[in-house]
Amino acid sequence: MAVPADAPPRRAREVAISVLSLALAAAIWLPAVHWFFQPDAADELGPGLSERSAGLAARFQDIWADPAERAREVERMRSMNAEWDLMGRTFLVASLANIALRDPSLRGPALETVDRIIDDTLARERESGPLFFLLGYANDSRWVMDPPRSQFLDGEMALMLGLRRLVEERGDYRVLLQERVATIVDRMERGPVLCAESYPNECWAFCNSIALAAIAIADSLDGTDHAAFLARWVRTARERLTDPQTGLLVSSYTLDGRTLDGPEGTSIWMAAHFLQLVDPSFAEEQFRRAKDGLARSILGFGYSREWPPASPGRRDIDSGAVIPLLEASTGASGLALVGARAFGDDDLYCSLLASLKFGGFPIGRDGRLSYGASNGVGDAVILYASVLGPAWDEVRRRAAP
Amino acid sequence: MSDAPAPVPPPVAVPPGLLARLRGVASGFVLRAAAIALLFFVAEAAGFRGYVAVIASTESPAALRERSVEVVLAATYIVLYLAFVLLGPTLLIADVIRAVLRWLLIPKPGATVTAPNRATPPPG
Repeated sequence: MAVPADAPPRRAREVAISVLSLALAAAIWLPAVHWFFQPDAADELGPGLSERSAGLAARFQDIWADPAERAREVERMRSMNAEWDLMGRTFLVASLANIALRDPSLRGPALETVDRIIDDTLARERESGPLFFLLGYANDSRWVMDPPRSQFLDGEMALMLGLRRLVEERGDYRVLLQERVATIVDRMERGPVLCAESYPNECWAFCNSIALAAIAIADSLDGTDHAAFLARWVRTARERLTDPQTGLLVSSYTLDGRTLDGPEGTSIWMAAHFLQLVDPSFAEEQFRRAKDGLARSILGFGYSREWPPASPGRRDIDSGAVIPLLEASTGASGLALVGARAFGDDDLYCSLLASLKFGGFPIGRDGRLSYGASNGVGDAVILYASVLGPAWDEVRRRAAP
Repeated sequence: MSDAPAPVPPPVAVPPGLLARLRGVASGFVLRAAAIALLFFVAEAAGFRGYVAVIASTESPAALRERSVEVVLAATYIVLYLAFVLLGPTLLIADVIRAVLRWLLIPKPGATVTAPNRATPPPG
């Protein structure tokens, strides 16, 4: 067969044109993809309950209304991480309290679920002990403080009770909150850096900041005054619990303040949010530092690193999947939603929501929503980020002279 | 032995296949994008998206191994989803760009390129 003399150059030119076309097309399309995943800002940032939030909340309320479904969900969560069982409850209660304050017409069903969660959590604590919601290593070593108690459970339980009472007073919860806060303060005062253990000789900024927020909420409800203690805690944290490289609160430390884990996205976004009730300027500073060190964007999709480049750490179960090279952490990115929303950083919030819409695999059915790439605790955090605000406003309103 | 040239076998008429027929109406890029879209919509309609939760759920690694079929379906869905969102539109845009580049850079069949005849003086 005769081959035209110009065939090889022509073929090579065709291939080169195809490759160049693909490269140019990718350069056009990939930076534009995020536009197709942008959230409806008016719906997401408005004063009402967004369609997405309503779908997430409805699914959780279904789960808590059906004992069999609830047992399955709890078992699924505990099979991987018992902590997530408690955290899922806490963030759901926090979400429902905010929803109830945001839209009074939803107060009844929201409080019904909140009370069911609180009563069930208290029952489990009573029946199985204070370490029920902890990972197995809680039993492997000796707690420094006696008797062993976890700030993780005490703080989150107090937060749930306090948030419930912000929406509507309940006498039995009032007593329970006051007792819990007294225990928390007593144990924190006994710690050399004003923190209590979550695990044996292991304190977490996450748990202690939640406990501090619960104390502030209790003060606003009951007229108690822990302002001096809270101020002392912030001074101590600035001096002994911050990472020298980044100025961020470290994640975990021994009871006497020796760092175990440096700053982590899965701690700091949430810690900054809870510290808003303790010291707003310190909280804002932590958020700004976290944003500088951890918040990133690629092709318009926002995400959070788990560790700042200046202070690398080691992966744990809370980090979730960490994408190599980008160091994007699914866990930290979910919690960054809370930070961004709490501090009014709408650009960061919307870019994180775009990532959620792109990579979260939302599954909607009959007005119920969940995220395929998430789990119960992740969905509860996502819901909390979308509805937070009114509870903190209510605390500030009550605390105002 | 004859000096006559060996007879050239007549061209065998190959019935054009489906791909060849399709290529008559669309380029390879467009066909690939269409195939990706078709597979993705089939996976979506079959409810593969629901299996993504299996990978991300709180199941233990041992439980994940027990549900290996669902894990494979979830992984298939994720690959198709990414291909549909990222690769499909890229292929369609590339097809348009390629058509333009070919029009600009590749001489049309039968077209001849003639150098200006320097010996001929310009008119006038």
